[in-house]
Amino acid sequence: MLKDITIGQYIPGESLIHRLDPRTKILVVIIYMTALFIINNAIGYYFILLFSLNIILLSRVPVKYYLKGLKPLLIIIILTVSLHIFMTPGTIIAEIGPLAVTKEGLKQGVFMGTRLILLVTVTSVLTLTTTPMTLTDGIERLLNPFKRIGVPAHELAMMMTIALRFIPTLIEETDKIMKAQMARGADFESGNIVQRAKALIPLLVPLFLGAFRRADELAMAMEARCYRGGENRTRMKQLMYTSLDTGAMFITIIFLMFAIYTRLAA
Amino acid sequence: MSIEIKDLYHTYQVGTPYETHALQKINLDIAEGEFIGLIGHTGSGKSTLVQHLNGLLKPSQGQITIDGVDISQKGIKLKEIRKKVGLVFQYPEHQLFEETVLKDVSFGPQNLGLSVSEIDKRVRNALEVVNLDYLEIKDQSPFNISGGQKRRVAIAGVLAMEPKYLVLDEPTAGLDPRGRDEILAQIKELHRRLKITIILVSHSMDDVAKMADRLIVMHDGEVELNGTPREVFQKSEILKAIGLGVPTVSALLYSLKAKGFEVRTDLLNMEEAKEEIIKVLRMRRGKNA
Ligand SMILES: Nc1ncnc2c1ncn2[C@@H]1O[C@H](COP(=O)(O)OP(=O)(O)O)[C@@H](O)[C@H]1O
Ligand SMILES: [Mg+2]
Repeated sequence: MLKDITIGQYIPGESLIHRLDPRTKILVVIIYMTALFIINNAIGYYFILLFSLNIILLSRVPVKYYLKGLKPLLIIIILTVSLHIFMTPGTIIAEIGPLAVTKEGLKQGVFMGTRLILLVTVTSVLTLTTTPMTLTDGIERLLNPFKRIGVPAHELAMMMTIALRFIPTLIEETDKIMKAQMARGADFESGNIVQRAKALIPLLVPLFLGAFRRADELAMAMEARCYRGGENRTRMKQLMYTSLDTGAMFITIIFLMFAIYTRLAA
Repeated sequence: MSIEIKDLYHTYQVGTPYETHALQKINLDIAEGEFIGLIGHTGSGKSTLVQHLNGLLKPSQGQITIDGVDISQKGIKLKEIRKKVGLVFQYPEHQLFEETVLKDVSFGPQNLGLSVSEIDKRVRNALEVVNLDYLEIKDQSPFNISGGQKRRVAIAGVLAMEPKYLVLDEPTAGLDPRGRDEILAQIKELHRRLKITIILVSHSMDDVAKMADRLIVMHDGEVELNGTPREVFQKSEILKAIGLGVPTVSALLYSLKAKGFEVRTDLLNMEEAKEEIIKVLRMRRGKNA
Protein backbone atom coordinates (compact mmCIF):
# COMPACT_ATOMS: atom_id res chain seq x y z
CA MET A 1 0.00 0.00 0.00
CA LEU A 2 2.83 2.39 0.87
CA LYS A 3 4.46 1.58 -2.42
CA ASP A 4 1.56 3.18 -4.30
CA ILE A 5 2.40 6.69 -3.15
CA THR A 6 3.75 8.52 -6.16
CA ILE A 7 4.17 12.09 -4.85
CA GLY A 8 7.34 13.54 -6.22
CA GLN A 9 8.00 10.45 -8.27
CA TYR A 10 10.47 11.20 -11.00
CA ILE A 11 10.95 9.02 -14.06
CA PRO A 12 14.48 9.53 -15.39
CA GLY A 13 14.77 10.29 -19.10
CA GLU A 14 16.37 12.38 -21.79
CA SER A 15 13.28 13.61 -23.63
CA LEU A 16 12.74 17.18 -24.84
CA ILE A 17 10.47 17.79 -21.87
CA HIS A 18 13.04 16.41 -19.42
CA ARG A 19 15.63 18.83 -20.80
CA LEU A 20 13.51 21.96 -20.40
CA ASP A 21 14.41 24.42 -17.66
CA PRO A 22 12.15 23.91 -14.61
CA ARG A 23 11.10 27.58 -14.72
CA THR A 24 9.86 27.09 -18.27
CA LYS A 25 7.94 24.00 -17.29
CA ILE A 26 6.31 25.69 -14.30
CA LEU A 27 5.31 28.72 -16.38
CA VAL A 28 3.99 26.52 -19.17
CA VAL A 29 1.84 24.62 -16.68
CA ILE A 30 0.48 27.89 -15.25
CA ILE A 31 -0.34 29.24 -18.71
CA TYR A 32 -1.81 25.90 -19.68
CA MET A 33 -4.13 25.92 -16.66
CA THR A 34 -5.23 29.44 -17.47
CA ALA A 35 -6.01 28.40 -21.02
CA LEU A 36 -7.86 25.35 -19.77
CA PHE A 37 -10.23 27.60 -17.82
CA ILE A 38 -10.66 30.12 -20.62
CA ILE A 39 -11.70 27.56 -23.20
CA ASN A 40 -15.44 26.89 -23.25
CA ASN A 41 -16.33 25.24 -26.55
CA ALA A 42 -15.70 22.10 -28.56
CA ILE A 43 -13.12 23.58 -30.93
CA GLY A 44 -11.11 24.86 -27.99
CA TYR A 45 -11.21 21.50 -26.23
CA TYR A 46 -10.24 19.75 -29.43
CA PHE A 47 -7.07 21.83 -29.69
CA ILE A 48 -6.14 21.63 -26.03
CA LEU A 49 -6.48 17.84 -26.24
CA LEU A 50 -4.15 17.80 -29.22
CA PHE A 51 -1.66 20.05 -27.43
CA SER A 52 -1.75 17.88 -24.29
CA LEU A 53 -1.32 14.63 -26.19
CA ASN A 54 1.73 16.09 -27.86
CA ILE A 55 3.28 17.03 -24.52
CA ILE A 56 2.57 13.57 -23.11
CA LEU A 57 4.10 11.84 -26.12
CA LEU A 58 7.12 14.13 -26.07
CA SER A 59 7.78 13.34 -22.40
CA ARG A 60 8.36 9.67 -23.31
CA VAL A 61 7.07 8.62 -19.90
CA PRO A 62 5.02 5.40 -20.18
CA VAL A 63 1.28 6.19 -20.20
CA LYS A 64 0.68 3.90 -17.22
CA TYR A 65 2.31 6.47 -14.90
CA TYR A 66 -0.24 9.07 -15.97
CA LEU A 67 -3.06 6.61 -15.42
CA LYS A 68 -1.68 5.79 -11.98
CA GLY A 69 -1.73 9.50 -11.14
CA LEU A 70 -5.40 9.71 -12.14
CA LYS A 71 -6.52 6.70 -10.15
CA PRO A 72 -6.86 8.38 -6.74
CA LEU A 73 -8.96 11.14 -8.34
CA LEU A 74 -11.30 8.82 -10.19
CA ILE A 75 -14.13 9.23 -7.67
CA ILE A 76 -13.92 13.02 -7.70
CA ILE A 77 -13.93 13.07 -11.49
CA ILE A 78 -16.93 10.73 -11.75
CA LEU A 79 -18.79 12.76 -9.11
CA THR A 80 -18.15 16.07 -10.84
CA VAL A 81 -19.15 14.72 -14.24
CA SER A 82 -22.39 13.18 -12.91
CA LEU A 83 -23.34 16.35 -11.04
CA HIS A 84 -23.00 18.33 -14.22
CA ILE A 85 -24.84 15.81 -16.37
CA PHE A 86 -27.83 15.52 -14.05
CA MET A 87 -28.03 18.94 -12.47
CA THR A 88 -27.81 21.32 -15.42
CA PRO A 89 -31.24 22.60 -16.52
CA GLY A 90 -32.01 22.57 -20.26
CA THR A 91 -33.43 20.39 -23.04
CA ILE A 92 -34.05 16.90 -21.70
CA ILE A 93 -32.68 14.13 -23.94
CA ALA A 94 -33.04 11.12 -21.63
CA GLU A 95 -34.55 10.20 -18.28
CA ILE A 96 -33.19 7.63 -15.85
CA GLY A 97 -35.74 7.27 -13.07
CA PRO A 98 -36.03 10.60 -11.28
CA LEU A 99 -32.88 11.90 -12.96
CA ALA A 100 -32.96 13.82 -16.21
CA VAL A 101 -30.06 14.13 -18.62
CA THR A 102 -30.03 17.41 -20.47
CA LYS A 103 -28.17 18.30 -23.62
CA GLU A 104 -26.44 21.19 -21.91
CA GLY A 105 -25.62 18.99 -18.91
CA LEU A 106 -24.03 16.31 -21.08
CA LYS A 107 -21.90 18.92 -22.77
CA GLN A 108 -20.88 20.52 -19.48
CA GLY A 109 -20.14 17.11 -17.95
CA VAL A 110 -17.85 16.07 -20.78
CA PHE A 111 -16.09 19.43 -20.68
CA MET A 112 -15.57 19.35 -16.92
CA GLY A 113 -14.34 15.76 -17.00
CA THR A 114 -11.85 16.56 -19.74
CA ARG A 115 -10.74 19.64 -17.86
CA LEU A 116 -10.01 17.74 -14.65
CA ILE A 117 -8.24 14.89 -16.38
CA LEU A 118 -6.06 17.26 -18.41
CA LEU A 119 -5.28 19.34 -15.34
CA VAL A 120 -3.97 16.35 -13.40
CA THR A 121 -2.20 14.78 -16.36
CA VAL A 122 -0.30 17.88 -17.44
CA THR A 123 0.72 18.62 -13.85
CA SER A 124 2.00 15.03 -13.74
CA VAL A 125 4.13 15.75 -16.82
CA LEU A 126 5.84 18.42 -14.75
CA THR A 127 6.50 16.23 -11.70
CA LEU A 128 7.32 13.07 -13.63
CA THR A 129 9.98 14.75 -15.77
CA THR A 130 11.56 17.04 -13.18
CA THR A 131 13.48 15.94 -10.11
CA PRO A 132 12.02 17.42 -6.90
CA MET A 133 15.28 19.31 -6.32
CA THR A 134 15.22 20.96 -9.73
CA LEU A 135 11.56 21.76 -9.26
CA THR A 136 12.10 23.61 -5.98
CA ASP A 137 15.08 25.36 -7.52
CA GLY A 138 12.80 26.58 -10.27
CA ILE A 139 10.15 27.72 -7.78
CA GLU A 140 12.74 29.61 -5.77
CA ARG A 141 13.99 31.43 -8.83
CA LEU A 142 10.48 32.28 -9.97
CA LEU A 143 9.65 33.65 -6.51
CA ASN A 144 12.85 35.70 -6.32
CA PRO A 145 11.29 38.92 -7.63
CA PHE A 146 8.73 38.78 -4.80
CA LYS A 147 11.41 38.77 -2.11
CA ARG A 148 11.19 42.54 -2.02
CA ILE A 149 7.59 42.37 -0.83
CA GLY A 150 8.58 39.95 1.93
CA VAL A 151 8.11 36.52 0.35
CA PRO A 152 10.76 34.24 1.94
CA ALA A 153 11.56 32.56 -1.38
CA HIS A 154 14.71 30.76 -0.29
CA GLU A 155 13.29 29.49 3.00
CA LEU A 156 10.14 28.23 1.30
CA ALA A 157 12.15 26.41 -1.31
CA MET A 158 14.53 24.92 1.27
CA MET A 159 11.60 23.69 3.36
CA MET A 160 10.05 22.11 0.28
CA THR A 161 13.34 20.52 -0.72
CA ILE A 162 13.81 19.00 2.73
CA ALA A 163 10.21 17.82 2.93
CA LEU A 164 10.42 16.20 -0.49
CA ARG A 165 13.78 14.68 0.34
CA PHE A 166 12.34 13.06 3.46
CA ILE A 167 9.11 11.67 2.01
CA PRO A 168 10.77 8.48 0.75
CA THR A 169 12.80 8.20 3.96
CA LEU A 170 9.69 8.44 6.11
CA ILE A 171 7.84 5.93 3.94
CA GLU A 172 10.78 3.55 4.25
CA GLU A 173 10.93 4.11 8.00
CA THR A 174 7.18 3.50 8.37
CA ASP A 175 7.52 0.29 6.42
CA LYS A 176 10.41 -0.88 8.61
CA ILE A 177 8.76 -0.08 11.93
CA MET A 178 5.50 -1.68 10.80
CA LYS A 179 7.35 -4.85 9.88
CA ALA A 180 9.30 -4.86 13.13
CA GLN A 181 6.10 -4.56 15.18
CA MET A 182 4.39 -7.17 13.01
CA ALA A 183 7.32 -9.47 13.81
CA ARG A 184 6.29 -8.97 17.45
CA GLY A 185 2.76 -10.04 16.58
CA ALA A 186 1.22 -6.58 16.07
CA ASP A 187 -1.85 -6.53 13.86
CA PHE A 188 -2.56 -3.39 11.83
CA GLU A 189 -5.24 -4.82 9.60
CA SER A 190 -8.10 -6.19 11.68
CA GLY A 191 -10.34 -5.11 14.51
CA ASN A 192 -12.79 -2.25 14.90
CA ILE A 193 -11.90 1.41 14.55
CA VAL A 194 -10.86 1.86 18.21
CA GLN A 195 -8.65 -1.22 18.12
CA ARG A 196 -7.09 -0.08 14.87
CA ALA A 197 -6.36 3.38 16.22
CA LYS A 198 -4.74 1.84 19.28
CA ALA A 199 -2.71 -0.49 17.10
CA LEU A 200 -1.12 2.58 15.51
CA ILE A 201 0.60 3.71 18.73
CA PRO A 202 3.52 1.25 18.36
CA LEU A 203 3.99 2.65 14.85
CA LEU A 204 3.52 6.38 15.48
CA VAL A 205 5.65 6.79 18.60
CA PRO A 206 8.85 5.43 17.03
CA LEU A 207 8.06 7.22 13.77
CA PHE A 208 7.78 10.65 15.42
CA LEU A 209 10.82 10.06 17.59
CA GLY A 210 12.76 9.08 14.49
CA ALA A 211 11.58 12.14 12.58
CA PHE A 212 12.62 14.48 15.40
CA ARG A 213 15.98 12.75 15.70
CA ARG A 214 16.53 13.15 11.97
CA ALA A 215 15.49 16.80 11.99
CA ASP A 216 17.91 17.47 14.82
CA GLU A 217 20.75 15.72 13.05
CA LEU A 218 20.01 17.50 9.80
CA ALA A 219 19.96 20.93 11.44
CA MET A 220 23.27 20.17 13.09
CA ALA A 221 24.83 18.90 9.87
CA MET A 222 23.64 21.96 7.95
CA GLU A 223 24.99 24.31 10.57
CA ALA A 224 28.30 22.43 10.67
CA ARG A 225 28.57 23.18 6.98
CA CYS A 226 27.90 26.86 7.56
CA TYR A 227 24.37 27.04 6.22
CA ARG A 228 22.85 30.39 7.17
CA GLY A 229 19.96 30.98 4.81
CA GLY A 230 19.81 32.16 1.25
CA GLU A 231 21.95 35.24 1.37
CA ASN A 232 25.00 35.12 -0.88
CA ARG A 233 24.42 31.45 -1.42
CA THR A 234 25.66 30.23 -4.79
CA ARG A 235 24.51 27.02 -6.42
CA MET A 236 26.21 24.03 -7.88
CA LYS A 237 23.87 23.61 -10.83
CA GLN A 238 23.00 26.92 -12.45
CA LEU A 239 19.66 26.93 -14.19
CA MET A 240 19.99 27.95 -17.80
CA TYR A 241 17.55 28.96 -20.47
CA THR A 242 18.30 27.47 -23.88
CA SER A 243 16.70 27.93 -27.28
CA LEU A 244 14.59 24.90 -26.37
CA ASP A 245 12.98 26.95 -23.60
CA THR A 246 12.41 29.92 -25.86
CA GLY A 247 10.72 27.60 -28.36
CA ALA A 248 8.52 26.01 -25.72
CA MET A 249 7.43 29.39 -24.31
CA PHE A 250 6.70 30.69 -27.82
CA ILE A 251 4.48 27.71 -28.67
CA THR A 252 2.66 27.96 -25.36
CA ILE A 253 1.92 31.66 -25.76
CA ILE A 254 0.56 31.11 -29.27
CA PHE A 255 -1.56 28.36 -27.82
CA LEU A 256 -2.87 30.69 -25.09
CA MET A 257 -3.77 33.35 -27.65
CA PHE A 258 -5.58 30.72 -29.66
CA ALA A 259 -7.53 29.64 -26.59
CA ILE A 260 -8.64 33.23 -25.97
CA TYR A 261 -9.58 33.58 -29.63
CA THR A 262 -11.82 30.45 -29.63
CA ARG A 263 -13.70 31.89 -26.67
CA LEU A 264 -14.14 35.35 -28.16
CA ALA A 265 -15.11 34.00 -31.57
CA ALA A 266 -17.83 31.76 -30.20
CA MET B 1 11.83 -30.04 11.72
CA SER B 2 13.48 -27.33 9.70
CA ILE B 3 13.30 -24.29 7.48
CA GLU B 4 13.45 -25.03 3.77
CA ILE B 5 13.85 -22.40 1.10
CA LYS B 6 13.25 -23.54 -2.44
CA ASP B 7 14.12 -21.50 -5.54
CA LEU B 8 13.37 -18.19 -3.87
CA TYR B 9 13.34 -14.98 -5.92
CA HIS B 10 12.46 -11.51 -4.70
CA THR B 11 12.14 -8.40 -6.83
CA TYR B 12 11.43 -4.96 -5.34
CA GLN B 13 9.37 -2.35 -7.20
CA VAL B 14 8.45 -4.61 -10.10
CA GLY B 15 7.74 -2.79 -13.35
CA THR B 16 9.35 0.54 -12.41
CA PRO B 17 12.72 1.90 -13.49
CA TYR B 18 13.88 1.18 -9.92
CA GLU B 19 13.25 -2.57 -10.16
CA THR B 20 15.78 -4.45 -7.99
CA HIS B 21 16.37 -8.17 -8.10
CA ALA B 22 17.24 -8.50 -4.42
CA LEU B 23 17.18 -12.31 -4.26
CA GLN B 24 17.78 -14.87 -6.96
CA LYS B 25 17.56 -18.68 -6.97
CA ILE B 26 18.07 -19.10 -3.23
CA ASN B 27 18.03 -22.72 -2.07
CA LEU B 28 18.71 -23.37 1.60
CA ASP B 29 17.92 -25.84 4.35
CA ILE B 30 18.26 -24.83 7.97
CA ALA B 31 17.96 -27.62 10.50
CA GLU B 32 16.66 -27.24 14.03
CA GLY B 33 19.37 -26.40 16.54
CA GLU B 34 21.84 -25.02 14.01
CA PHE B 35 23.76 -21.80 14.52
CA ILE B 36 23.94 -20.11 11.13
CA GLY B 37 26.03 -17.09 10.22
CA LEU B 38 24.52 -15.22 7.27
CA ILE B 39 27.19 -12.96 5.80
CA GLY B 40 27.41 -10.58 2.88
CA HIS B 41 28.21 -6.95 2.43
CA THR B 42 25.59 -4.20 2.41
CA GLY B 43 23.00 -4.68 -0.31
CA SER B 44 23.69 -8.37 -0.82
CA GLY B 45 20.13 -9.28 0.16
CA LYS B 46 20.54 -10.53 3.74
CA SER B 47 17.72 -8.46 5.23
CA THR B 48 15.42 -9.26 2.31
CA LEU B 49 16.06 -12.96 2.81
CA VAL B 50 15.37 -12.99 6.56
CA GLN B 51 12.14 -11.02 6.18
CA HIS B 52 10.82 -13.93 4.13
CA LEU B 53 11.31 -16.34 7.01
CA ASN B 54 8.35 -14.99 9.01
CA GLY B 55 6.17 -13.89 6.13
CA LEU B 56 6.89 -10.15 6.29
CA LEU B 57 7.85 -10.31 2.64
CA LYS B 58 6.22 -12.53 0.05
CA PRO B 59 8.40 -14.35 -2.45
CA SER B 60 8.18 -13.12 -6.05
CA GLN B 61 8.77 -16.75 -6.90
CA GLY B 62 9.63 -19.85 -4.92
CA GLN B 63 8.64 -21.47 -1.67
CA ILE B 64 9.44 -21.30 2.03
CA THR B 65 8.52 -24.16 4.30
CA ILE B 66 8.72 -23.90 8.06
CA ASP B 67 8.32 -27.15 9.99
CA GLY B 68 6.52 -28.59 6.99
CA VAL B 69 4.13 -25.65 6.49
CA ASP B 70 4.38 -23.72 3.24
CA ILE B 71 4.10 -20.13 4.48
CA SER B 72 3.54 -18.50 1.10
CA GLN B 73 0.16 -20.12 0.52
CA LYS B 74 -3.01 -18.11 0.99
CA GLY B 75 -4.87 -18.15 4.28
CA ILE B 76 -1.87 -19.13 6.36
CA LYS B 77 -1.93 -17.91 9.97
CA LEU B 78 0.98 -15.51 9.96
CA LYS B 79 0.80 -14.98 13.71
CA GLU B 80 1.61 -18.65 14.20
CA ILE B 81 4.65 -18.29 11.95
CA ARG B 82 5.80 -15.14 13.74
CA LYS B 83 5.49 -16.91 17.07
CA LYS B 84 7.78 -19.60 15.76
CA VAL B 85 10.28 -17.43 13.91
CA GLY B 86 11.43 -14.43 15.94
CA LEU B 87 13.03 -11.64 13.95
CA VAL B 88 15.12 -8.91 15.55
CA PHE B 89 15.51 -6.08 13.07
CA GLN B 90 18.60 -4.00 12.56
CA TYR B 91 18.71 -1.14 15.13
CA PRO B 92 15.79 -2.73 17.05
CA GLU B 93 15.95 0.06 19.68
CA HIS B 94 14.29 2.35 17.13
CA GLN B 95 11.11 0.35 17.56
CA LEU B 96 10.73 0.86 21.31
CA PHE B 97 7.54 2.78 22.09
CA GLU B 98 6.14 2.02 25.55
CA GLU B 99 6.42 4.08 28.73
CA THR B 100 8.30 1.39 30.62
CA VAL B 101 10.69 -1.40 29.74
CA LEU B 102 8.29 -3.91 31.26
CA LYS B 103 5.42 -2.82 29.01
CA ASP B 104 7.61 -2.79 25.92
CA VAL B 105 8.96 -6.29 26.43
CA SER B 106 5.41 -7.51 27.16
CA PHE B 107 4.12 -6.22 23.82
CA GLY B 108 5.01 -9.38 21.87
CA PRO B 109 3.69 -11.95 24.38
CA GLN B 110 0.53 -9.85 24.80
CA ASN B 111 -0.11 -10.02 21.07
CA LEU B 112 0.15 -13.79 21.34
CA GLY B 113 -2.76 -13.68 23.79
CA LEU B 114 -0.93 -15.26 26.71
CA SER B 115 -2.04 -15.14 30.34
CA VAL B 116 -0.74 -12.43 32.67
CA SER B 117 1.34 -14.84 34.71
CA GLU B 118 2.84 -16.41 31.60
CA ILE B 119 3.70 -12.97 30.21
CA ASP B 120 5.35 -11.98 33.46
CA LYS B 121 7.40 -15.18 33.54
CA ARG B 122 8.55 -14.70 29.96
CA VAL B 123 9.50 -11.06 30.45
CA ARG B 124 11.61 -11.96 33.48
CA ASN B 125 13.34 -14.75 31.55
CA ALA B 126 13.96 -12.61 28.48
CA LEU B 127 15.48 -9.76 30.48
CA GLU B 128 17.65 -12.22 32.37
CA VAL B 129 18.96 -13.73 29.12
CA VAL B 130 20.14 -10.32 27.93
CA ASN B 131 21.73 -9.68 31.30
CA LEU B 132 19.45 -6.92 32.56
CA ASP B 133 18.28 -6.75 36.15
CA TYR B 134 14.51 -7.18 36.08
CA LEU B 135 13.70 -5.22 39.23
CA GLU B 136 16.09 -2.43 38.43
CA ILE B 137 15.03 -1.84 34.84
CA LYS B 138 11.35 -2.79 34.59
CA ASP B 139 9.89 0.59 35.49
CA GLN B 140 12.40 2.73 33.64
CA SER B 141 11.52 4.46 30.41
CA PRO B 142 13.11 2.66 27.46
CA PHE B 143 14.17 6.10 26.17
CA ASN B 144 16.21 6.98 29.25
CA ILE B 145 18.59 4.05 29.37
CA SER B 146 21.95 3.68 27.60
CA GLY B 147 22.27 2.69 23.96
CA GLY B 148 23.53 -0.80 24.73
CA GLN B 149 20.70 -1.33 27.23
CA LYS B 150 18.11 -0.15 24.70
CA ARG B 151 19.41 -2.68 22.20
CA ARG B 152 19.16 -5.45 24.79
CA VAL B 153 15.64 -4.45 25.84
CA ALA B 154 14.60 -4.56 22.19
CA ILE B 155 16.12 -8.01 21.74
CA ALA B 156 14.37 -9.16 24.92
CA GLY B 157 11.11 -7.98 23.32
CA VAL B 158 11.49 -10.67 20.67
CA LEU B 159 12.94 -13.29 23.02
CA ALA B 160 9.88 -12.96 25.25
CA MET B 161 7.84 -14.49 22.44
CA GLU B 162 10.01 -17.60 22.93
CA PRO B 163 10.56 -18.33 19.27
CA LYS B 164 11.90 -21.65 18.13
CA TYR B 165 13.97 -19.99 15.41
CA LEU B 166 15.64 -16.70 16.24
CA VAL B 167 16.88 -14.43 13.46
CA LEU B 168 19.01 -11.41 14.37
CA ASP B 169 19.71 -8.85 11.66
CA GLU B 170 23.08 -7.24 12.40
CA PRO B 171 22.50 -7.13 16.17
CA THR B 172 25.89 -5.53 16.83
CA ALA B 173 25.69 -2.69 14.29
CA GLY B 174 26.70 0.62 15.82
CA LEU B 175 27.75 -0.79 19.22
CA ASP B 176 31.15 -0.25 20.82
CA PRO B 177 33.47 -3.31 21.01
CA ARG B 178 32.40 -4.12 24.55
CA GLY B 179 28.68 -3.89 23.80
CA ARG B 180 29.26 -6.02 20.73
CA ASP B 181 31.09 -8.77 22.61
CA GLU B 182 28.41 -8.82 25.32
CA ILE B 183 25.57 -9.24 22.84
CA LEU B 184 27.41 -11.92 20.90
CA ALA B 185 28.18 -13.82 24.12
CA GLN B 186 24.51 -13.66 25.12
CA ILE B 187 23.44 -15.02 21.75
CA LYS B 188 25.95 -17.84 22.02
CA GLU B 189 24.67 -18.64 25.51
CA LEU B 190 21.08 -18.63 24.27
CA HIS B 191 21.94 -21.19 21.66
CA ARG B 192 23.90 -23.34 24.07
CA ARG B 193 21.38 -23.29 26.89
CA LEU B 194 18.00 -23.21 25.22
CA LYS B 195 18.98 -24.96 21.96
CA ILE B 196 17.23 -22.28 19.93
CA THR B 197 18.06 -22.27 16.24
CA ILE B 198 19.98 -19.06 15.55
CA ILE B 199 20.44 -17.20 12.28
CA LEU B 200 22.90 -14.39 12.88
CA VAL B 201 23.15 -11.83 10.10
CA SER B 202 26.35 -9.86 9.87
CA HIS B 203 28.72 -8.21 7.48
CA SER B 204 31.68 -8.93 9.73
CA MET B 205 33.50 -12.23 9.43
CA ASP B 206 35.20 -11.77 12.80
CA ASP B 207 31.82 -11.60 14.55
CA VAL B 208 30.33 -14.81 13.26
CA ALA B 209 33.26 -17.00 12.31
CA LYS B 210 33.96 -18.18 15.85
CA MET B 211 30.34 -18.83 16.77
CA ALA B 212 28.51 -20.30 13.80
CA ASP B 213 28.31 -23.99 12.88
CA ARG B 214 27.65 -23.01 9.31
CA LEU B 215 28.24 -19.92 7.22
CA ILE B 216 26.06 -18.78 4.35
CA VAL B 217 27.78 -16.15 2.26
CA MET B 218 25.60 -13.96 0.07
CA HIS B 219 26.64 -11.81 -2.84
CA ASP B 220 24.42 -9.82 -5.20
CA GLY B 221 21.27 -11.60 -4.09
CA GLU B 222 22.67 -15.10 -4.48
CA VAL B 223 24.16 -17.66 -2.12
CA GLU B 224 27.83 -17.67 -3.03
CA LEU B 225 29.20 -20.08 -0.38
CA ASN B 226 27.52 -22.40 2.09
CA GLY B 227 29.45 -24.60 4.52
CA THR B 228 31.32 -24.85 7.80
CA PRO B 229 33.52 -21.85 8.64
CA ARG B 230 36.61 -23.88 7.83
CA GLU B 231 35.27 -24.87 4.41
CA VAL B 232 34.25 -21.31 3.66
CA PHE B 233 37.57 -19.76 4.64
CA GLN B 234 39.40 -22.16 2.35
CA LYS B 235 37.84 -20.15 -0.49
CA SER B 236 39.65 -16.99 0.49
CA GLU B 237 39.97 -15.84 -3.15
CA ILE B 238 36.20 -15.82 -3.59
CA LEU B 239 35.73 -14.04 -0.27
CA LYS B 240 38.24 -11.39 -1.26
CA ALA B 241 36.69 -10.97 -4.68
CA ILE B 242 33.31 -10.17 -3.13
CA GLY B 243 34.90 -7.78 -0.67
CA LEU B 244 34.49 -9.76 2.55
CA GLY B 245 37.93 -11.06 3.37
CA VAL B 246 38.61 -13.65 6.04
CA PRO B 247 38.76 -13.33 9.84
CA THR B 248 41.92 -11.79 11.28
CA VAL B 249 43.35 -15.14 12.40
CA SER B 250 42.85 -16.75 8.98
CA ALA B 251 44.31 -13.67 7.32
CA LEU B 252 47.46 -14.02 9.43
CA LEU B 253 47.83 -17.71 8.55
CA TYR B 254 47.32 -17.00 4.85
CA SER B 255 49.98 -14.31 4.78
CA LEU B 256 52.42 -16.58 6.64
CA LYS B 257 51.75 -19.27 4.07
CA ALA B 258 52.33 -16.79 1.26
CA LYS B 259 55.72 -16.01 2.82
CA GLY B 260 56.69 -19.68 2.65
CA PHE B 261 55.74 -20.99 6.09
CA GLU B 262 53.94 -24.32 5.76
CA VAL B 263 51.10 -23.53 8.22
CA ARG B 264 47.56 -24.88 8.08
CA THR B 265 45.11 -22.20 6.98
CA ASP B 266 41.85 -23.71 8.24
CA LEU B 267 42.23 -22.65 11.88
CA LEU B 268 39.91 -20.10 13.41
CA ASN B 269 40.82 -19.23 16.94
CA MET B 270 43.85 -17.57 18.35
CA GLU B 271 44.95 -20.53 20.49
CA GLU B 272 44.99 -23.06 17.66
CA ALA B 273 46.81 -20.60 15.47
CA LYS B 274 49.43 -19.98 18.12
CA GLU B 275 50.09 -23.73 18.51
CA GLU B 276 50.32 -24.16 14.76
CA ILE B 277 52.79 -21.30 14.30
CA ILE B 278 55.01 -22.56 17.14
CA LYS B 279 54.92 -26.05 15.65
CA VAL B 280 55.95 -24.85 12.22
CA LEU B 281 58.72 -22.64 13.63
CA ARG B 282 60.10 -25.59 15.64
CA MET B 283 60.07 -27.79 12.53
CA ARG B 284 61.97 -25.14 10.59
CA ARG B 285 64.58 -24.80 13.26
CA GLY B 286 64.89 -28.59 13.35
CA LYS B 287 65.47 -28.70 9.59
CA ASN B 288 68.01 -25.90 9.58
CA ALA B 289 69.98 -27.43 12.43
N1 LIG C 1 12.09 -1.70 0.50
C1 LIG C 1 12.91 -1.76 -0.56
N2 LIG C 1 12.54 -1.23 -1.75
C2 LIG C 1 13.35 -1.32 -2.82
N3 LIG C 1 14.56 -1.88 -2.83
C3 LIG C 1 15.00 -2.41 -1.68
C4 LIG C 1 14.21 -2.38 -0.47
N4 LIG C 1 14.91 -2.99 0.52
C5 LIG C 1 16.07 -3.37 -0.03
N5 LIG C 1 16.15 -3.03 -1.34
C6 LIG C 1 17.27 -3.33 -2.27
O1 LIG C 1 17.47 -4.73 -2.29
C7 LIG C 1 18.85 -5.05 -2.25
C8 LIG C 1 19.15 -5.92 -1.05
O2 LIG C 1 18.97 -5.17 0.13
P1 LIG C 1 19.04 -5.78 1.60
O3 LIG C 1 18.26 -7.03 1.64
O4 LIG C 1 18.66 -4.70 2.54
O5 LIG C 1 20.59 -6.10 1.75
P2 LIG C 1 21.49 -6.26 3.05
O6 LIG C 1 20.61 -6.48 4.22
O7 LIG C 1 22.38 -7.41 2.72
O8 LIG C 1 22.28 -4.99 3.17
C9 LIG C 1 19.59 -3.72 -2.24
O9 LIG C 1 19.98 -3.44 -3.57
C10 LIG C 1 18.57 -2.73 -1.77
O10 LIG C 1 18.80 -1.46 -2.33
MG1 LIG D 1 20.48 -5.31 5.99
